[in-house]
Amino acid sequence: MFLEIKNLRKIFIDSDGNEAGLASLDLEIGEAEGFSLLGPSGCGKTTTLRLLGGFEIPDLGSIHLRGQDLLKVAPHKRPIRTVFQKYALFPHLSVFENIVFSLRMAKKSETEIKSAADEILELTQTRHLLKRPVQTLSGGEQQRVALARALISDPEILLLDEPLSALDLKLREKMQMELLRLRKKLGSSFIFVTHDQSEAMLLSDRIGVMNKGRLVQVGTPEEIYRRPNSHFVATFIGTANFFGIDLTAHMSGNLSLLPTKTADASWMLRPESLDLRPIGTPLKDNELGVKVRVIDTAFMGQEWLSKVIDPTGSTHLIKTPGHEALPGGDGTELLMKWEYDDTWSLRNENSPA
Amino acid sequence: MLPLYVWIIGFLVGPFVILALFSIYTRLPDGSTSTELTIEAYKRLSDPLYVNIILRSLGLAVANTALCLVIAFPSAYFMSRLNGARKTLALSLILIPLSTSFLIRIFAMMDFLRLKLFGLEWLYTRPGILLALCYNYLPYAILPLYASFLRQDPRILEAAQDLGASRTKVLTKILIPLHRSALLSAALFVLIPSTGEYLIPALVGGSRYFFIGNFLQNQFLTARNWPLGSALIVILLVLTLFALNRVRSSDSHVEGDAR
Amino acid sequence: MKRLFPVFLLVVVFLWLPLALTLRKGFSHEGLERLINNHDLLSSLNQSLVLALVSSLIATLMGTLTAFALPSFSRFWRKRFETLLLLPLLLPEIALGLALLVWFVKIGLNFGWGTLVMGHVGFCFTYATLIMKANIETLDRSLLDAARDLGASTSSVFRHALLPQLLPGLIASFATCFALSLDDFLISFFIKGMDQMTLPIKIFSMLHLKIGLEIYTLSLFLCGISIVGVLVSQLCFKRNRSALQL
Repeated sequence: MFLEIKNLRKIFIDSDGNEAGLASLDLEIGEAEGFSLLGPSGCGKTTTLRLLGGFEIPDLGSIHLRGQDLLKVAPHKRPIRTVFQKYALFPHLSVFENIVFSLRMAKKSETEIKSAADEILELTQTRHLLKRPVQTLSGGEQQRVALARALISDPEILLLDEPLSALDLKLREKMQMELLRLRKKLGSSFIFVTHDQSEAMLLSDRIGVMNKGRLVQVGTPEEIYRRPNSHFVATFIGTANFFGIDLTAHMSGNLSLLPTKTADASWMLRPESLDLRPIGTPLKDNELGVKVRVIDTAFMGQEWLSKVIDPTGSTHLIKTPGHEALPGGDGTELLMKWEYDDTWSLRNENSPA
Repeated sequence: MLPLYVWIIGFLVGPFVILALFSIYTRLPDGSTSTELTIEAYKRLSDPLYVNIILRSLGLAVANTALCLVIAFPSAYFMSRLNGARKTLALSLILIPLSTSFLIRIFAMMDFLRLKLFGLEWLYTRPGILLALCYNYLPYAILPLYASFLRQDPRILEAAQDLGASRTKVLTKILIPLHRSALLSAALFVLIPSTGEYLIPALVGGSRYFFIGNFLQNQFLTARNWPLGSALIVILLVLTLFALNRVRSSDSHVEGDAR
Repeated sequence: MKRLFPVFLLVVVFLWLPLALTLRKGFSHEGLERLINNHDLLSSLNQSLVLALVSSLIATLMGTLTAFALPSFSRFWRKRFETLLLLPLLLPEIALGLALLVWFVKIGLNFGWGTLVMGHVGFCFTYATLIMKANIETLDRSLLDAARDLGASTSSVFRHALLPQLLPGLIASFATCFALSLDDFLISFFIKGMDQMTLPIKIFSMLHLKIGLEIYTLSLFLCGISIVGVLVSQLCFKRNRSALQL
């Protein structure tokens, strides 16, 4: 396996006196893979990044790259490069010197430096920035220089800390394409650390969701989205609607909703899997329906967002295509229906059963 | 606003203009000065005797500056990387001695030097003067460096390591160039005042050594040769302005940010 | 990082040891008694305190006005002025003292309290201006606009929106100038008149004659007050590290 992390642990006490960091991590990442560590702040993802980069020494565990024990290698000798959240460009050096820094450290010849620089400038489209002082670059430009700086030495792994967070929407989409292109071109593995689930889904082949210092679920974006293994993952990725199911009633063929707190199990449905129709619309064989009342609606262009309340008192969020009109506005009673195949069962983590 | 301008001209410019004038006046045998213009004073300063004094003072000042910077750099860095309360404590530990009376500090240092550390004589020797100078100037070297380190993103050093720089390289290629202007500030703040230090060499050195400070005191108060003394001060002034201008203009080229 | 701690520790010990060894002589009953009875010394203390108070007030006021006036100058003049401003910080004290001496003689002033105050304001002015300049840079003007928007008169805007923001700088400037003035020996030596005997000058004469246990007791007191002063200015003005930058 390309990158093998076993039993990695690094705990420290944060400013409030609580334990923070990484409790335990087992993970394998493939060559040229795009992998995201996703989770809320404090979940241990940044600690993991720093352990990989060599800026922290773990309490326990091992990291092997192509079979070689990385912990025995000093940070400045590892074939791993980091793009920091605020880019950390050297203000006293020109853009060019920033980019070729790692080659200078490795004492490469001037010709080698020049040709590598040419390549990377082309690849990251940063040639036009060469003459500018570092402080005058915009966020997006700084990031591209930081990328060029990290990639020029063709590292095995590139670590990126919250790469898209400082960019506005349009730049994000552009950057996402860029990162994908660069990864395919260079064949390095890119490991992203982020708290933004849409960023993770955009950028990676696989996502590792983390919480409280542990890995909670690993899978492709689709697997994580459609088949989350816990309430936490379900709510962290996108919006989730939960329906408490009375199992016994369900077994005998009746759909009976319970308040989610007391039910043994929940069904999770994504907002786009739910549909709103006028009361009385017939249900097909594979469909289920519940009467709801509309609380609020909003038009977002490509979709309608509707907030509804069901008989047990739970609220749900529904997304319907923007080109179809809603069958009713605030206060109306409608039928909320969905296809049985779209449901995903989750054990209720707090139930006694 | 006008009285302000008057004051500023009066106190920042006036005295030095007068000194410049005095430096080209003639000294009369009885000790007073006539307004006859001459550059006699400047010519006399090129006499080896006086040049020696100047060089000796410069040498001492340069040694002091080097010593202070070498000690201040790691100390200031250490202080800047402490967290919250410890940082305030560290800063206070450095600042409080500064707020005791300057005289008390000199005499305290003299008492300390009298103790013959390591079995060596320190009082009334050149090394003793150097140590006393460093004692006085160290906090002034630490403060600008500390301020500069505070403003630096610590991630930059990690980035350098990430890109393959060993610890030594991080120091020489990143840390020192990055804080170049603070280093120059600190150097200037120590070098120029120590060149003209009077009290410390006079007290700690006894009457054994003659530096610029002693020289000036001598010329103005004892030998009553105001033109000669003024000429030296004018030279000091011109050199200071020159150095100041160089440092400030190189600053705005390198940094290019509005502060 | 851990390897740097001994360096720092050494620096702290180096700075404090000689001071501690000397000042502990002041920890005596005899010292305190002699201090209370030494009227000359106490009178000098009084003179210095008053001098420091007056000089600091004037210097802070002028520094504030200057700091406000500075942005309205053209870039060229502002740079020249800032360079000029830094001179008193850089030049050797003796050069400053002698320059002032010569200046006062030339413009025909008699040496006395007037010249002493003027000299002290002279070297404090730079510190005051630099500190207030840094303070003004962090001013949030939208607070002034907000006050006006909510109906405040000019004097109210000053009192409630401007002054609170200036306060940390004013206090820091005052404290710094006060400490500098209290401590000044060399410059005072040159520009004082016959009747003035400020504390440092009195201390110098006593130390030279190697008399006066009470000096150490007094210094101990002053040191204590300075500690309080330093802590106060630390707390008040956390943002102002850049006052000492060129």
